[in-house]
Amino acid sequence: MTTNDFIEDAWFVAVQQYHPQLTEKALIDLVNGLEVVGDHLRCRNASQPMIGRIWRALTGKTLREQYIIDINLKIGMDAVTAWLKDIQAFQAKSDLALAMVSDKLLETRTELGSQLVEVAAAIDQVVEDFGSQMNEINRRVQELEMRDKARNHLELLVVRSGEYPLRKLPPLAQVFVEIDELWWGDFGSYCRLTANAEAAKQMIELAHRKISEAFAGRLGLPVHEIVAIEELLNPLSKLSTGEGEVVAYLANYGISNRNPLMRAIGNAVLGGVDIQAAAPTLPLAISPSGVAQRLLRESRLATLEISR
Amino acid sequence: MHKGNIEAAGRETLRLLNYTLEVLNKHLAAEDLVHEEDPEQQRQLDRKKARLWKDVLRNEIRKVENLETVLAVIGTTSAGKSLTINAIVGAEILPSRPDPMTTYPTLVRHKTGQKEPILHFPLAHNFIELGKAAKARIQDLMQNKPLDEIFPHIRERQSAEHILSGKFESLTETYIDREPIFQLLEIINDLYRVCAPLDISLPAVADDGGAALPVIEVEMFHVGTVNQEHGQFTILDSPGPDDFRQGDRLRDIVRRQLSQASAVLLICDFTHLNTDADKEIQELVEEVLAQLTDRVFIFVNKFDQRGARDWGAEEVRKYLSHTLLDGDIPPSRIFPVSARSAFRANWAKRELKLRGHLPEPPDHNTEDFGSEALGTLWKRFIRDNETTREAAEALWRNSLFDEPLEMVIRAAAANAAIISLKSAIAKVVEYNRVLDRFLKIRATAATTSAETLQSEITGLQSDVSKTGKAYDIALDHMKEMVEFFSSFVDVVCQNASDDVGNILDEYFKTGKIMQLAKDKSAERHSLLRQLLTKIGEKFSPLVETAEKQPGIDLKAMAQDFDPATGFDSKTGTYVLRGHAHANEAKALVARIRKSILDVFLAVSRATQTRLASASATLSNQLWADIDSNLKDVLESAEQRLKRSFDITFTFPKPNLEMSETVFRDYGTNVVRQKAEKYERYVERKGVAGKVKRWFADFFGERWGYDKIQETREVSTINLGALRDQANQKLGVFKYEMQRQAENFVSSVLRESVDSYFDDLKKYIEAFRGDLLDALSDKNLEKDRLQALYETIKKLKSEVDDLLHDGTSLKTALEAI
Repeated sequence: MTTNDFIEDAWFVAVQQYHPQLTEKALIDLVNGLEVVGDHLRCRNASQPMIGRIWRALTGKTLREQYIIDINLKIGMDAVTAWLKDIQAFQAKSDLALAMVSDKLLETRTELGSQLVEVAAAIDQVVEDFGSQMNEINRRVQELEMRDKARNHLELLVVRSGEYPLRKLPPLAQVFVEIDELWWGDFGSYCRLTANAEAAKQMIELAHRKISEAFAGRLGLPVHEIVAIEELLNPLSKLSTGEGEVVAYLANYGISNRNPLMRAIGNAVLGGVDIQAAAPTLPLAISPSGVAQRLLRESRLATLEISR
Repeated sequence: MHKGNIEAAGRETLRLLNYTLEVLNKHLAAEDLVHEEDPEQQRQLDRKKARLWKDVLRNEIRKVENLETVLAVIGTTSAGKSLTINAIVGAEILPSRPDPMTTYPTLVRHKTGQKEPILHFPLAHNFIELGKAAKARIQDLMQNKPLDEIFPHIRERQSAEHILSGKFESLTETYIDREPIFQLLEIINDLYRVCAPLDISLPAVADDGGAALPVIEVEMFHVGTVNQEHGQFTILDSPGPDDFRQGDRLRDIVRRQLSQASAVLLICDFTHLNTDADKEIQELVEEVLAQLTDRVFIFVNKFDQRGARDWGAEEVRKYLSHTLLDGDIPPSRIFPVSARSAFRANWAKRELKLRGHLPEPPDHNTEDFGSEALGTLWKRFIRDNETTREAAEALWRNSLFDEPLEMVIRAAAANAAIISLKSAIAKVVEYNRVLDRFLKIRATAATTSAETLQSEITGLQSDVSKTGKAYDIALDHMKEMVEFFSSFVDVVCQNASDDVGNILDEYFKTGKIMQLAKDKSAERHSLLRQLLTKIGEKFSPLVETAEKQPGIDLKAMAQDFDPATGFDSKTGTYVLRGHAHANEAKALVARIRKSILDVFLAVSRATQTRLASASATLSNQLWADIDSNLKDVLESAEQRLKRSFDITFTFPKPNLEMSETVFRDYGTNVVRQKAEKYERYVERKGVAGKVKRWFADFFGERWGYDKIQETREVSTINLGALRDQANQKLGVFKYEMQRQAENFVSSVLRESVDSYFDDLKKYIEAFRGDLLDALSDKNLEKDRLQALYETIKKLKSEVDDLLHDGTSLKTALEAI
């Protein structure tokens, strides 16, 4: 590991502290990437840099190293055990990751059948742990503890400390990262799990108002002032490598054709804006209020796809 | 919002329009989704409606793509409105005369390459018919009285003569070049002037705006270059304040045109500022432009006639903005200019550009331009194109037109875009909201059993029946309220009649007016209170409203009158002797006529305010009753459909206006002129005469004078007849007010309630119709049903996006 790597990793760890959705998404990606074919474990996305960074930050190992281990040990019990340990190391917190990973583990366990009893037992343990965490989240939602947490989450979102590593992001990238974080944190869990649909709707409206105001403030515009979409997207092409990777990873996550603005954000970071390519679904002019509303909707749809 | 963002909003609007069109096509292409229209089954969407919407959307796309900027120009009397328009165009396309001219709205449209003006007049045929009707009516009236009695005003009389001569019969739909256009405008104005006093309605102009108005197409110099990136540019030449007072169809036409204008340019006369003419400016801004003040700009014309001691530009701005218009129009939108210099300069620039030189003298425009721009030696330089070009530029700068005109055009272009975008986006939101509801209901079949659907359908049927009962109750309430409103109208009209009567009494008596004003006012309010208290507490808000309304300020009225000095109360006449006084007598009658008219109009306005306020209270109460009776029905239907009803309903406001035409013949036949013989003494010439006169003065005799007999003209004004005529008009006034008020409650309000219940019924029926379709969907084969649900799901997701983006853009445009 070079000095540069170390500095980058330290920066990245700081980003992860503010945006735990990076960890959650990486975990889901990792689990999705590890296909169980018989007794063979493979890492499909070994070259994906963002997962590698997250992996290294959490486990101290590079993904490549892990990949080599997996290949060399093939179906060895050590590999599966190491994999399970790594999953536990991610410390998934969101209901999305917990549910998704549990499902995948149970699928893996089914594939393993009775061949690897010990591995199966280890998987059962992880699933049980995750299940306990899910129960805890559900309990907190029912006891309205989560509602307060969701509100706090929202309050704290727009006020970041001076050490916040992404404070120099262009306004559109910043508002996107914030909204994305909302859906993966306490706010999202509350809105998804509460039985009170009206309360969830009000919480989302509150988020819309607060985020619109903060976003408009950063742009120096009234909340309903219309801006050409290029004006918002163009600054995204000038992000530093680390910032660019974070934003692009989050924006291109869980993409379907229902997320044109998220996709445009990701593309703007990676190579430039192609407005025509996004037609007719991408708004060509939009107000700060419209951006907040659209991203809340798109980001929510992306998480809904995962939870299905 | 800056220009770039408006353009971006335009692109976004086009995206939403095209995307909605695409989504509608997908609806139509989807199997089993949209059914043909069926008179027996209301639906939120059927194929006929979808095709209609597509046409509307395509039309909106055209309007957004070919944006038309309309600058409405309106002016106080003889302020130079036509000259200003000519100055903007750079050509004499409208007659610019000292007398008020324009009475019918005319559009002047910029067309690149159109050197000579061309006028299109789509309503030519209608105006010929109008002319025939006017001619027949005049001829009919002339059987009983001469033309000068039918039309006491000289301009109307001249117009009537033109109509009798049949000039209008030559009207066609196209006119090329200045003189024929001037002749056409003269004919239109003749017809308008005569039709108003004859109570003949002008041809109707459709709601879609200026399609039926005369349009002059011409290349506008300067404007073309400023506006070229904003699409089509059009000037609306609007009638002046005199014409607005007529209270007829013309005012509606002009108001509608003004409300759709991108910007309004008000022309007023610098030389008339701080005089009685200020009232006209206030009147225009307050009455005609009240809803448009954010789009109004003022050009204070004839600023070139400013003397050394007159106000400067800043003082003019402050006076108009702060003193005259209470800050309604900021000083930054008020510009002192010279339309005359601007016209001459822009005319010369246009001629040089289009023809390469100015017309040879004695062309009057060349002479005017030359003498102002080049001075007394203009003939020496006028053929030097470079010098004339420089002189035209200098004169253009001196006219102070350049910067304000550019600002007005740019503001108008920005407004044009916003007005057009608002209209388009409203359609996008409206249609997608219906599509959203339509798809939601059709999708319910996927998750709802046939039994439940059937039960909801039956429930909605029951809701429709209940609205019928609520309608019957509303009609009963309305009947009760109509009776009350009629009593109220009686009281208010009686008060108005008393006001006018009192003022007339004082006018013809003089004296004691202040005391009487106080007494009558107190008495009137007491009467109103007694009557309203009798009617009971049920309508207490209305009683409060009525009491809060100010009565007629008799004191203020009294101060406006010239006391009729010299009035002989015994004979009831006012006699003026001598030839010089013949005109004075007519002038006195005109003054009396104007004063009486002012009283009637003031009372009419105050009465209208009272009745409007009362009817608003009444309407609100009626609405509250309907709301309360419908509450259960709407809640039940809403719960059934798990969504809120978005019906909005507003009652109309009464439009009770006093037409000046009632008073057209007031004050006629009251001045009698005859010749009488009389004796007078003239000084005898010579020394003897002088001596005799010296003694005569001493002894009080008429020595030294010769007695001669002469004939002189005597003008006798019959004030009693004036008074009788005023009383007669008072009767007509009261009758008119009552008739209009009764028409409002018995017809307008009833139609409005009927229409509301009809809409509500159709609205609920449409949900029921969609549920019936959802029920029959269940009979489809499994694969087809599955395909239908998949289509609905995909379309719903697209409609969601369109609705969200449309609503967001609509809010943003409304916030501007």
